[in-house]
Amino acid sequence: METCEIRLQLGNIFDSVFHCGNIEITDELTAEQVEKWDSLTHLTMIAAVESHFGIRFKLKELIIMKNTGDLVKLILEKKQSV
Amino acid sequence: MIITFRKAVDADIDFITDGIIQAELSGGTVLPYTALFNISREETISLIHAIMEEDIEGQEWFLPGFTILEVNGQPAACLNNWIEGNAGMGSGLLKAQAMSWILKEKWKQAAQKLEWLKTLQLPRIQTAMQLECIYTKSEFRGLGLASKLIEHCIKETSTSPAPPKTAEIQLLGNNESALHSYTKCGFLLREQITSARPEILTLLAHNTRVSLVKPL
Repeated sequence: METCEIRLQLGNIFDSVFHCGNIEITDELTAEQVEKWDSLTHLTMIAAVESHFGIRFKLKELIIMKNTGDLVKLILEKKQSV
Repeated sequence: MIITFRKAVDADIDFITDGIIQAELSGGTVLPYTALFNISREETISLIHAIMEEDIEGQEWFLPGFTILEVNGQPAACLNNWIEGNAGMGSGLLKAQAMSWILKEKWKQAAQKLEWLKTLQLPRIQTAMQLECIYTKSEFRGLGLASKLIEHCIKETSTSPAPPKTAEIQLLGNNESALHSYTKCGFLLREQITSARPEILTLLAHNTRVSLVKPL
């Protein structure tokens, strides 16, 4: 699975969780830049990502995530290790 | 009276947990986490300990972030401080992430109550120094120790290589004595929010949240 494909699929998940429409998934994108991205929707998004990509995150992995780029990287690593 | 300051160590966990519980009670009788997640006081203490064991920097329950004020060698007061956003994610997200991880189903079951709490959420100022869990043991109250501790932590943070420009404290609006004490320390009202949801009072001691700031 390629980075751009993950970004595309992540865009659909963000859209359904944050109802944010045409959001551009960049590596620098953070919660502060998306209106409905708060502590509750964040956890819904993480659960949706886990279910969609068939992966499980560890708490340590989640808390060091600084932006969407880190999330994409983490998904890629997990998919490659399967 | 000899006053000294030091960073918290593992042995302070019970004192700090007491401080967190008292700060969460905010003068009321409802412990938010017991009401929110339908857990006992003991389970709330276990939750606080479990999050502290994860060593998550940049949020309220990070043990090494606490400073202890001792009077004649006895812990008398404590507070936690961090720079909002320095750890990457905001402090609210970090704490929620850890809580949901530990509580699992109980977190999901609390979804409705968490929605109520959102009506009383004030975004913290990015890159501002955050002061939380400010607590003085009852026998040491009235001595101005909380003010001394706040001043000490601000002074210490101000000498860091990239000092913040602002300090922020968030608290519930019913805590009059704390509000008075922080105002005396130079904090000014930035913003306040009142929830229109009556259910909030089943979770918290008050329906108003206040953000105070101090330029550094």
